[in-house]
Amino acid sequence: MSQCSRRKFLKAGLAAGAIAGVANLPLRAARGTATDWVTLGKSGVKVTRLAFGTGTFSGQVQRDLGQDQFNRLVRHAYDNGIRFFETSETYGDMHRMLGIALKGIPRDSYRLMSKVTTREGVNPQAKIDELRRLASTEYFDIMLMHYQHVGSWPADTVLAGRHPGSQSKAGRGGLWSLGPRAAGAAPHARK
Amino acid sequence: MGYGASVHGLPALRRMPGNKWLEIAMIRMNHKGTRMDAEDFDTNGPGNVPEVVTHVKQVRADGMGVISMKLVGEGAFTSRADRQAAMKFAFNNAGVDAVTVGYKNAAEIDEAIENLNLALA
Repeated sequence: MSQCSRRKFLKAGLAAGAIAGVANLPLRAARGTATDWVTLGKSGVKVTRLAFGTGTFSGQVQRDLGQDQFNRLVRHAYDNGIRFFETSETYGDMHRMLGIALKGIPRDSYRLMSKVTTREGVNPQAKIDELRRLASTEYFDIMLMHYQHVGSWPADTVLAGRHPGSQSKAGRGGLWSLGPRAAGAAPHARK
Repeated sequence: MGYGASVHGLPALRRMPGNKWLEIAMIRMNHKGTRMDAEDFDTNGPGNVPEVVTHVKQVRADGMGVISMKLVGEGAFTSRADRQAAMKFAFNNAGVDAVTVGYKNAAEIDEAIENLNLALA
């Protein structure tokens, strides 16, 4: 976190110590159901509490179902109120299979999340566009940088000239423009 | 559109709190620490549940939304009691916003819905 001041870093550390003492105390979450729509913090994106994941053993379990059975599974989830579907660049063929399974369902009735692996030599925007085409979608509602696994990742992970160590909100452009409805313009994403 | 990161391992997870860029954090969570974050990001050993929960609360206090995975311990939770306990722990102790589960049949979807409904009852 190269641009994070030492004061902020220390402040965060003190807060961590204060919170650590109560880490396991029950919070008693708000009452509700698995298929309620909830807002994911400051992203403003609303999703159902329960998502449909496609990455069991990197997607092998879902791929092995075959397209027809996978279609039925996605429809069963949708028909029972799950409207949050998620996949990843690393889950093999799952973007394509999920895109086929969701075909015909109104795009604004569900949320779609993907994850892109960050590595040198790969243009993140080009990769996201590729994933968008594979998933047959004009846009993703959520995009995550996948599998950050070292302590230096906020400074190391450079995405379209920006990195998550940046404290500047101006850094939000570029990478996170996902096609025709660029820069967060998914029409329902912040409803 | 929301943007964020998924992390594996405590060294990476520790860098999420206080990050002004992230809006969404994807963090592994269950009551047993199975396939959760430890010092070694690549271990199959148990994760540090108290520390992970601490960081979930920190990033939520920072305004991030939290999505969790490993609610069935990557298939390790063969008893329904464990799968129910994982849902309860994720929402009632850690306070995550949403969870993702991978399914291979309709019965697993139905059960996950029931388990989460029970956790929130």
